[in-house]
Amino acid sequence: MDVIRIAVLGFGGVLLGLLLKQCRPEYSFYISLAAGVCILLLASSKVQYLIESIQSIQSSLPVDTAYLNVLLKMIGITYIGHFSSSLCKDAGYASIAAQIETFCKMSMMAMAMPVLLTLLEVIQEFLG
Amino acid sequence: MEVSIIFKIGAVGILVSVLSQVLKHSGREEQAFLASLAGLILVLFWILPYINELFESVRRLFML
Repeated sequence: MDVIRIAVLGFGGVLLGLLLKQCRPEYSFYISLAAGVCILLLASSKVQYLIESIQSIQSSLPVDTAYLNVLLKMIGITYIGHFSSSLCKDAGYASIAAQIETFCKMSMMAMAMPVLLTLLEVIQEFLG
Repeated sequence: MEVSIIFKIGAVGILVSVLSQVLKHSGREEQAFLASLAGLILVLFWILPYINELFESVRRLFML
């Protein structure tokens, strides 16, 4: 049911942004930013539930909690990077959006590196 | 307050554009520029707590 609410909210934001695009282009950026923020805040309850269920599943699995935290952090970084870069693309600044995305990719690789190193050590133990 | 901010921003945008048109036609260019600047800063102050709330909730959710 609230999917319809989110869709109507998005359409209202888009129409208002289009109206303001001719006379005041900077406000259309504000409106897309506000719409994005509102939609995410409404969605954060669902994300909260998802993360709690992941944690409850994870307690039954023999997986170390560190790897799951790295995974969750990556999802967070991806989300914020994608949100901000698509906003910049909407405003017409594709170069800044590309910079943001490059930074997000590098930070994710930096976070994934320790996991990769532990994997290599485990493999060496098997072989060595 | 969640959803109404979008329409408040739209209202401020329309008001500022009308105001600047009126000021421009009556010959006061600087006031028109100042009015649009004031509108921008006002909307910025409205939206900053929301952005802060957004980034805080994402940081808390994903344990960043």
